[in-house]
Amino acid sequence: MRRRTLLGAALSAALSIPARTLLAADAAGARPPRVVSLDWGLTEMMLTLGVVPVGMANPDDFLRTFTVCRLPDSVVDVGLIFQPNMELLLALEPDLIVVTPAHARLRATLERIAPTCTLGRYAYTRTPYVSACAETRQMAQRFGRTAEAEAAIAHADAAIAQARARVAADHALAARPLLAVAFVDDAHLRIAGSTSLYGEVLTMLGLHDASRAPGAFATVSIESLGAWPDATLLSPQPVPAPVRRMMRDSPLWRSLPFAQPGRFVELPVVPPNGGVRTTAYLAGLIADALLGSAHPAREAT
Amino acid sequence: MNSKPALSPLAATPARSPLPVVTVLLLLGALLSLHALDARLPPALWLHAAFAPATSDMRQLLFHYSDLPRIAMVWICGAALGLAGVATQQVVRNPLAEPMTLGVFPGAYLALMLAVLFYPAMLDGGRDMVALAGAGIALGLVFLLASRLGLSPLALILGGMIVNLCCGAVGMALTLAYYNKLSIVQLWCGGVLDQHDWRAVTALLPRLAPCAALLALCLRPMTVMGAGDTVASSLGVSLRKTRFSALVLTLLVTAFVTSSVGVIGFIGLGAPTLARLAGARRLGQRMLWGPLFGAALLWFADGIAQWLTSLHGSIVPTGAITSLLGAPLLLVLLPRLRGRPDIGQAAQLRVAGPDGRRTGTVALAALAFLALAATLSLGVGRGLDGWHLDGIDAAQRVLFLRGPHFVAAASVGVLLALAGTLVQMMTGNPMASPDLLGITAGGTLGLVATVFLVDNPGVPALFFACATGAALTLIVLVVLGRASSYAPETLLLTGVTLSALMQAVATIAIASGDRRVTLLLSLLVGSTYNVSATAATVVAIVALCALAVVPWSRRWLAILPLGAPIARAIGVDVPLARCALLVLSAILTAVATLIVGPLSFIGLIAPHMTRLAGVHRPLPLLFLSAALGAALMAMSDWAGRWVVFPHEIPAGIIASLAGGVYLVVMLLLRGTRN
Repeated sequence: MRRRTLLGAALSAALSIPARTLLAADAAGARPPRVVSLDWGLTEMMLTLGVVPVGMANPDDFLRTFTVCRLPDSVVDVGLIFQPNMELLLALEPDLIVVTPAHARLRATLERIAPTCTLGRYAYTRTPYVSACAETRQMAQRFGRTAEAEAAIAHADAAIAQARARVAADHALAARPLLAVAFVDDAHLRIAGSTSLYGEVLTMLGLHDASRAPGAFATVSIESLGAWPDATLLSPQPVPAPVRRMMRDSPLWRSLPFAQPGRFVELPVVPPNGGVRTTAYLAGLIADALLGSAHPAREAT
Repeated sequence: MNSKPALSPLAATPARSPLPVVTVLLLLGALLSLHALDARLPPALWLHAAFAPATSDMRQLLFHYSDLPRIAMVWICGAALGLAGVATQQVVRNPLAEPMTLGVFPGAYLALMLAVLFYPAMLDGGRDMVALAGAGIALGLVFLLASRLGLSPLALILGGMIVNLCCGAVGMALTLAYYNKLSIVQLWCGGVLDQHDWRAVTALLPRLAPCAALLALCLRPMTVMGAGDTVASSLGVSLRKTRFSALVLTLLVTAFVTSSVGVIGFIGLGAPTLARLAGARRLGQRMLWGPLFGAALLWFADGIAQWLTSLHGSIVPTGAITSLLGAPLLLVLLPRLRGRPDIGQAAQLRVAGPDGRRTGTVALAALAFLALAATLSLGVGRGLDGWHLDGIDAAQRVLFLRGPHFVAAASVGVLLALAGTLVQMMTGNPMASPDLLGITAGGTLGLVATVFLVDNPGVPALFFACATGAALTLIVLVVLGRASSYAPETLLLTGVTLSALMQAVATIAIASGDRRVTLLLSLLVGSTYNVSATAATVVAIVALCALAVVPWSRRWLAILPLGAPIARAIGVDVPLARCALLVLSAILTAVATLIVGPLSFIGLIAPHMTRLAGVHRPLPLLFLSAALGAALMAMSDWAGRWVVFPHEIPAGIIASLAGGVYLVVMLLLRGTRN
């Protein structure tokens, strides 16, 4: 197993990283690499490795969404994620620009400014966390920071294992069907699918992810929640005021099982395209919320 | 000047009742509904669940609190939109008038979007007031714009289209910048009818009922209006007062429906049209059958939406289905529709006059403006330490970024200005613009299809897709236009229909939440942002070719605005001339769309400003519009790059906003002069 992982890492390094060791040399010696990140998930990945970007797209909203990350004030806002200001990028004189496949159209121009590297496919794979680990290692190769990557992944794996152990201590929890949702308005919500970060974390925690959505998420109206009579909902905070009003007034909602205590659990909001550190945080949040919430089985007895 | 009744009854067809047609539609809706209800609950329990659902049985509760109110909501909204459609079409004497074409939906949508992003607290009390305010402002603007042309029917449609495009431009820019925060607006934009109790139904009915009753009271004056403005005035009907009150009532009806269930396109357009084609000829009949057809159509569409939702697992918005079904239906019905928009009064384009002396001055001014735009675009930028004027060396270092921007923007400006001038002179309408022909919409549909069918499409694939979409649109335009000798009104109808179709497809795509949506959005907004040097060179060559070709059309352009009969008398082959000009302007528009996206007003504004400066003869008008268009587009591009540094606003959006402001300012100035 371990050998295969190592082999995989070496292979992916050999395949995806050209013989450009400039960055690794920089990191080891003279000056820290000047990196610009055009994606939030990739910024988290970079910060996990201890690399602080000189510039990134929309850092203010990033900090608001990626609550596990910290950034120094010196990081320059280079504009929108898909429309960074090219002249500003040029003025920052980066050694490397990190982008996602969705930036394909910008790549030709970006390459004229600095070497550009495409990562960030992990958020669209069927197992976002496992893929994020692989990509973190890949990025670490580029920066010559494999030790940091292994440490971060080990840390996250440990946090997930710990959360799993805490959840497993409560035997009733494993059987409870769970649905990670987010309200869109007072009549609709999004259900995170099994291939989303939520779905993967629930599975890793040994919990029962009840979503049947094939993709990353499905938008449904609240009455279709009737199809999950046994489920407990996990919803991000804060629940909007019109939704609160609906929960209070709607006879349909009140007859749904989620109106009963302990069946509607609120979590701090977590970005669905988060990386290794976010995943570890999410695992802890879910364990805390479920263990802290009232237990319907005990409630009934 | 124009005495032809716009909505002339189908005189040749024998009297028949719309009953069979509406029955078939209702049966289809009922079948789909019964199928869904049957899946929910065994029929034996229906009666029980309808009146006294057992609180322990989830199926009965869902039947009572979700399925039944949804059907009621569908009937109410469909009927209300059908009635609003009949009334609107009657008072503006235009079979194209409906909430979408009059800017009501886009206005409400944009207001809601702004509220969600910047004043979320406003929505805690419900979205009625926000939607109503947005819709009201938009409709007011449409009227302001149309009042320039005496509130004539076509002017209203064109004004609506302008407001539509403006709201669309801002909306797109906001969506691109704040995609994650707007899922609520996207859902609402799609039109969703799910209910979770009877509250929405019981709130909507008492608001709609008085409006409907008042509209019924307007029946007599509205009937007289159908005979034409001249006849109506001579019979003592106050045109402005009737038109105004009827339109306010329909605005209220639409805003209530919209704030309750979202944007439901095409019912207001399709229901009255179907009712008329099925045999409801007099206004009284149409006011009865229109709502019935509306309810039946929406019931059918909602049944399909529900069925697709159950297949797909994720919500398929009903409003998107109505547009998807409605747009092709309208294209098929188009040739059978006798009541064409009444455009006689709108054709007020001033025809060539002696203006030689001022042309030189205007030319100098336009060139100076272009030179200024070039200097700003290539030499002035902004960095972390503020604005700076670059020397030759510094400018050369960033030339690989700024050069393609400037060349592409200026070339697109030339293309759009030329296309706009051609379309305006061909249709004899000063408010026509290439966006209105639906060519940009067709190109965009091609882009949407490619984004979803091809994995990570490259630039060549996108270029090919957009060109194919535009070409197919062109073929549709030519085929549909040939029957009517390329009459401007048919072309406009097709354009509006295609734009709505594009909007529906884009809505479904965006509401799907697919990961390709971000790529799609950046394409829909379109801008000179990411123009490569190669692309810029190609556009520049096309623009130069266009400038070389257009002089050949000057004879047609001088004669066509005089009207078809005069042109024919002088010896112009009118269909040939119109078809040739149409093809030319379509090609120019398609190339421009690839670069700058579907939105921009340059094609409308540049010729307009040039004419305002006193240039009317075709050739100077074409060339000076082109120069002005180039300068305006380059300025928009430059401003978009630097005004909210480090964020960039697409050039097309700056141009649309500037164009919108220009039009409104012109109207206000005109008002004070009068």
